[in-house]
Amino acid sequence: MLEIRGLTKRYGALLAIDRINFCLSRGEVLGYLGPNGSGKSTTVNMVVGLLQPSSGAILLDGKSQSDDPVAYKQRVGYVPEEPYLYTHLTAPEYLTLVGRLRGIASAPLEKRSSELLRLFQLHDSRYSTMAAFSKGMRQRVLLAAALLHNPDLLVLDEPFSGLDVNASLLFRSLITMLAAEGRMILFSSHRFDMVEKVCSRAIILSKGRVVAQHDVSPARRGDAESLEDLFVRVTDQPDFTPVARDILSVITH
Amino acid sequence: MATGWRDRPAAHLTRHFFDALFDLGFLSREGADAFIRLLLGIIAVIFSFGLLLTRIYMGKYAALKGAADPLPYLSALAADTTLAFGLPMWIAAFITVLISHSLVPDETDFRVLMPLPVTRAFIYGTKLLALAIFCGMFIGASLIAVTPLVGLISSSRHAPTLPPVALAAYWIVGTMSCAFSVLAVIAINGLLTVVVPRSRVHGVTASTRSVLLVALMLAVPFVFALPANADRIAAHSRSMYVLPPAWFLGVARLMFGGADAYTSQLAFIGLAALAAAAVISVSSYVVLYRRFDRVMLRSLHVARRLPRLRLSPSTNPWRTAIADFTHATLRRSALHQGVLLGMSACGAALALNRLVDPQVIDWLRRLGAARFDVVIAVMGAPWLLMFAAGLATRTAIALPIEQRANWIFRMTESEATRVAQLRAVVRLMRQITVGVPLLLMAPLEWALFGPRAVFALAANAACALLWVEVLLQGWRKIPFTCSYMPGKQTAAQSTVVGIGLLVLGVSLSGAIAAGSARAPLFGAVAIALLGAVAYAFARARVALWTYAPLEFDDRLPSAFDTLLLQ
Repeated sequence: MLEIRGLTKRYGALLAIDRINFCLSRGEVLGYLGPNGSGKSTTVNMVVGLLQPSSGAILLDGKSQSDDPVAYKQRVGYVPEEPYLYTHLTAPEYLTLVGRLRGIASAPLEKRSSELLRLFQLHDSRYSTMAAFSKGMRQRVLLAAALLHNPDLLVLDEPFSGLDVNASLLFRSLITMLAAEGRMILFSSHRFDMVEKVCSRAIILSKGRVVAQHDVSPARRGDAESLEDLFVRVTDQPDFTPVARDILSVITH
Repeated sequence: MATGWRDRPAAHLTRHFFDALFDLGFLSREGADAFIRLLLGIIAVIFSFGLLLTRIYMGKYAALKGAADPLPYLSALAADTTLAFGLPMWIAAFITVLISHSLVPDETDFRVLMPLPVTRAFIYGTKLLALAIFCGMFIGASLIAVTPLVGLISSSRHAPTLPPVALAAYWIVGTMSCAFSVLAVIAINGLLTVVVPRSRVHGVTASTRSVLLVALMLAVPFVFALPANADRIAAHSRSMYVLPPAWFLGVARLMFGGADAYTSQLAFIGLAALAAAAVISVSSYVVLYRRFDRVMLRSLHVARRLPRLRLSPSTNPWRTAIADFTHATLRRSALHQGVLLGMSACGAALALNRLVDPQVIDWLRRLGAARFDVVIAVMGAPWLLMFAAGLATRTAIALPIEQRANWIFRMTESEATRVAQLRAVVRLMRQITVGVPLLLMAPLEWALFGPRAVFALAANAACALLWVEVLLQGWRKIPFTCSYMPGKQTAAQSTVVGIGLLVLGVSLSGAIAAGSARAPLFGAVAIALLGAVAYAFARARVALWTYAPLEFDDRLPSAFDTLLLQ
């Protein structure tokens, strides 16, 4: 289980994350929602170990991230929000780099990366550098790299961005199956529809604080408030109709 | 209301393209500011160099101008005029090669600008204007820098033209000669872009850029050797037909007086070359203009890549990961390859400059016992190669690529694997700084000392290993993953330190290597001492790596560290 306890991040005087708490159980897909600037990416960066928290604790199966960050990171797979990867490498080269950095032996690494490339429909482009890849193709490479070491915790930051319909359907099925096998999946997104389809529970973040937790399992959907309505209510979203009217006015006058 | 030029769309887009030429793509805001300071420093160094050159020539011309016989003066004037054309031509070609990746609008320009209501001609026109202004700035600076020299050498009673005419001729023909340099680079790039299959265009143009950079660096000794051609010009040698600066000497004589059949022939070659470069440049530009997609969009379909040859397979996955990543980047990134090859070629040019000495060439023809000055000339060359190769490798791997992708290295960093990862850097530095120069110099040193060359080569290797350790002190970076701040020292500071190390290294390393070949016992002691110092440096380096984390953010030295005292 992933436990986040009193996690806080300060940048000088700015309080980006303020004592947030939540848990992610094995086999669960947890949606992580919030408007821009709410602290979503900061939390994700701390969970994957790219940022040090100012205070609080991140525990994976009871073991603190700060006690043994390397062992912790060995169990985490991460797909970043933007497809940041080394585009001068080919997809197999990138997977080999990531696999070696994660200490996977050569033979299983070669076999696994080759299979993943084939299954993610990247095999035909294996000799091309990723500079020529579309955003969706790069996203598929990143997902393959995140799965390469069979992680217990998968952190996905907007994983559907840039994907075509087929790849989106594949990703959805894959996330469901990974969860069914007992993996923990933290799914950060702006898309309510995806969170509702993929996640069993969602957390809403606003101004660095958890403002709502919502059960989005199919059994609860009928009688519960929709995720979008809840989001608008708890994050104090203004009515954007006047803004839209103003935009229209600016471009027509 | 009439709007000024500055407010017009063409001016905005030209300014955008012009600013983009200073944006190397990997620098932060602070880094970009530091880069502009560095460029200003380089321009200042060019001006200082022009004045220094004038000062050096004052002595030579004081005697020539006073002589009763005009022939020595006229002969020197012709040869030195080729130098005055050659220097700005070299600078113009160098600058054009540096920005050769931006000669036509790129994929971002295509995607951002084409949906806007502007014509393709407008985009190409403003791009060309920005390029012309950028190149013009450096051409103007180099012509100004050399003008005092031209004024000095052309003001004599024996001169074929009056000084104002000579200066006007220099500026007009100098601009033509620089235009030739710029157009020649554009023609080579344009022709390759048009002819090569689309899937290979980016790779081929990147390699061409590196090859041109190396060629230009290797040409430096020949540019500075131009004044030595006085006798050849006087003898109407045909060898001058292949020297572009000589062509423009002919053009200047043809246009402003003093031409004979020989200089007219040179002028004809120069004008024909200028016309050919212009025609090929314009034609390839027109083709690229019509087939905009050719350079804009990358192709997914490429031929199978050959696996990399491994000379010494490593079983350590972390070291192999970094080594493969480094080799792939150096093979495919035009910037990193250009820096590595360009800077290394500087050293090769300096070494070549020593080796094209008439004494050395004479010895090479007969390959017998060498005179002392030949030994000195040859044994100085290894340090020049090693110094430049070490500096080039360190600079190339310090420049970032796709910096935001470095999260994978941040995420997988661990104390247990850090030393293994950074050992890939040491191996690369040693291969390029020690291995390559020794391979290049081994035949010459063998010819010089016979079997005892082994001692000289061992001494060279010891010096190079020490140099590698000096360069790696404080290094805590995975290649290409840390941000970069240029200009940590001023251009003048770097020049002084660089020249100091170069001169000191040439003397010391040359003396130790030559001494080792002559007296093996001395060699053994010197090698042991150098090895001990290198070993001490290496231990300090590894000790640092075991506890200090990897570095991903470079800082200017002005940024101070707090002591974190409570």
